[in-house]
Amino acid sequence: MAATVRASYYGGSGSEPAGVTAETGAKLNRDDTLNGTTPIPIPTATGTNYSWFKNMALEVTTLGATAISNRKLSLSGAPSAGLTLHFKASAYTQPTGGNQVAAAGTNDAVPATYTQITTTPTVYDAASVSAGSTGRNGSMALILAGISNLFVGGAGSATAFPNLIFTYDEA
Amino acid sequence: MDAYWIVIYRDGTTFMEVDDQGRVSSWAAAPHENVEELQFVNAAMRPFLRVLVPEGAEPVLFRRHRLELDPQAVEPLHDVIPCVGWRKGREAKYCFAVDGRIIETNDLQAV
Repeated sequence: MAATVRASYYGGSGSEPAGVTAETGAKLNRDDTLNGTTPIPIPTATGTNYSWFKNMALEVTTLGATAISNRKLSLSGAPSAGLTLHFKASAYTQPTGGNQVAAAGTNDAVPATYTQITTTPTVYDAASVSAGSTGRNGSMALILAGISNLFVGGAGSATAFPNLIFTYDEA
Repeated sequence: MDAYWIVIYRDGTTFMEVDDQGRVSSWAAAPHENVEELQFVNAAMRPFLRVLVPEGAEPVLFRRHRLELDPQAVEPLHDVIPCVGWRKGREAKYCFAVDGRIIETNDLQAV
């Protein structure tokens, strides 16, 4: 039987907490919450500022006699100019001001160790992991947003990205 | 599920994801040797995706899930794309059923 899988958010704890659904959206902010609105400053000169990262992963909610592999991330379209989204695979890490990605001196810079999320699905964890138990399946994807001096959308807590897409194989 | 897979072996025997008793098996539980054909069938047991597996090739079968997080939607958009195929050395063939079309490719990541 196929497993039931959702995209989950993990946060608000020093050690890995239980996942909560991220399928109704998330705000890429500068706090350790799913939907907080601590803002990311828009650079007033050439450069890129980043949100804190969010821990997101696939989570098996109803187990199946299958295995999941080839986990990928992509976007449903191109973001507005000056907005970028990035990921890296990791173990759970609580976001804090201390591990926040430092601002870059160029527009739309990709942070070191991160990969930009585009409309082309890109693997964040290829490993095959049994879906025979509930809980996180595969590694975390730490996801953060960048906002550069090219962004002209103005301030606000409802600036939208294209939809985030998780892709995975089940066999 | 509204699609199921069937493995047909060179000796004419079959292995079905859901057998006559309603028992469900995983692809990992199916023997992968001497596979002649892989199929996905609909609820009426009609094949809509199939591939012949050359002798000595490794059969490939999976469902590719696409989970799109749309805050405006009542629930996430969840597409399932079945794939059957094979690989042998540097050769490969993968067949995906996408939106009523069959896409044949040698690129496992093409869809």
